[in-house]
Amino acid sequence: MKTAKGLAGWVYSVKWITTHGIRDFRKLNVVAIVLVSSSVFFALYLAQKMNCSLSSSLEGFSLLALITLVSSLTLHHVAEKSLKNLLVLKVLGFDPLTSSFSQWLVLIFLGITGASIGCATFLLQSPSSLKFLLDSAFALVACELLAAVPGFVLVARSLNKSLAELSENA
Amino acid sequence: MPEKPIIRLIDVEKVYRTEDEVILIFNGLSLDIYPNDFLVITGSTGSGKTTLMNIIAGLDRPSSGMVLVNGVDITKLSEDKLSRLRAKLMGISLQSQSLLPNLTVYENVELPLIARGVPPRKRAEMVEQVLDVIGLLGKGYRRIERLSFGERQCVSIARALVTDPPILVLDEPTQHLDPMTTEFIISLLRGLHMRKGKTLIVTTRTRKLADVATKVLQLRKRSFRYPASEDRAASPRLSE
Ligand SMILES: Nc1ncnc2c1ncn2[C@@H]1O[C@H](COP(=O)(O)OP(=O)(O)O)[C@@H](O)[C@H]1O
Ligand SMILES: [Mg+2]
Repeated sequence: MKTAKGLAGWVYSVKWITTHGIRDFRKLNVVAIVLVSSSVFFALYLAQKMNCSLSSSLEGFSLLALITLVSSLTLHHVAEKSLKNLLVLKVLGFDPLTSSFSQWLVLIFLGITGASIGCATFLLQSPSSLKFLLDSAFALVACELLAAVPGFVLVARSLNKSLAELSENA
Repeated sequence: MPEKPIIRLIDVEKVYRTEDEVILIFNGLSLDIYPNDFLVITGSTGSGKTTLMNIIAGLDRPSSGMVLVNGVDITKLSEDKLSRLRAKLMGISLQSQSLLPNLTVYENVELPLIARGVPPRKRAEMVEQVLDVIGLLGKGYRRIERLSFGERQCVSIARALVTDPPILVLDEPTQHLDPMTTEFIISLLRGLHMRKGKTLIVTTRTRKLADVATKVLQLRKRSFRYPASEDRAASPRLSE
């Protein structure tokens, strides 16, 4: 009974931090989604022009690497901006692990949403390439999951420092 | 029968290191805080009040020495354990207030309850009660951005009180308040101490709060600064 209540409370905390991470930084998040989606769109576009598959050719791999780079830089920036709020939450008793996990979900949400919009746009401009797109979908999702890692690491590490250590680095 | 201290600082030293300076804030600071204490820490700007509060709340670590809370040395705890300890024992109001500006008064005050997994209906009850006590009930729906500094200060105090913690750590709670509200907050804190038996640790730069305290700690601005190039063991010299 007690653990069930504890779990419900924990799930609520995660839900709260995640929805607020998405809701409270509207402009920043929109910019992030636009950046991720345009990088995905151009990668798909170029891959199709060069007639190579994203997930099974050298050119494809370098395009994927590029997408991952753009996304991880973007998501890292988002994570950096969210730090101040997360530190306040820490003072109020939210434990660092819960906060980092929730922020990771925020980053994944942004990455996957961006990638989906990029794919949808690509499909709109060339409706016949559904099969080509489906071939690459898995690799794109993997890239976005990977791209959320640096931001997550930043948050987890920062929340595991004391406030003064952080202000010294600021 | 003498009670056991709820918080003990033993030989605490705090040194800040910047690129070209080493700043010694305290050395050999020892302090016992008992459950029925109303401790007021005074001192001029820069005397180390905020630093001391952060160390007591486990938000900052001393350079050396021990900080025992309920007998546990918190300087050795992980950040996760610290946040659990804070959640259980302390209500904190930082000098920088650290409210989330996009949220309403109500949502800000609700946060510590969410962190503690309090169910929704109970949360609403507790938030409303504390807003009522502090006189902000009519402003619960307002966003923090739309409040005066004084009102924000009150929200920050309400947020520290909402979980009904045994220890209250308040850094300059009356800093932005007008004289009337200051009086009100002082009498509120006094009531919490006298009637509800809370341990209060409060900093201030004014006399008023010190007058109602059971214990006053006066910090002096006596920090030594010396170039980082010099060895720490070298005799420090005063900056002024
Ligand atoms: N992170 C930091 N790095 C270096 N110096 C600091 C840091 N935080 C505080 N100080 C210095 O420590 C001294 C005490 O600061 P503080 O505790 O904020 O004093 P008070 O709250 O009494 O005004 C000041 O001289 C301040 O400049
Ligand atoms: Mg201060």
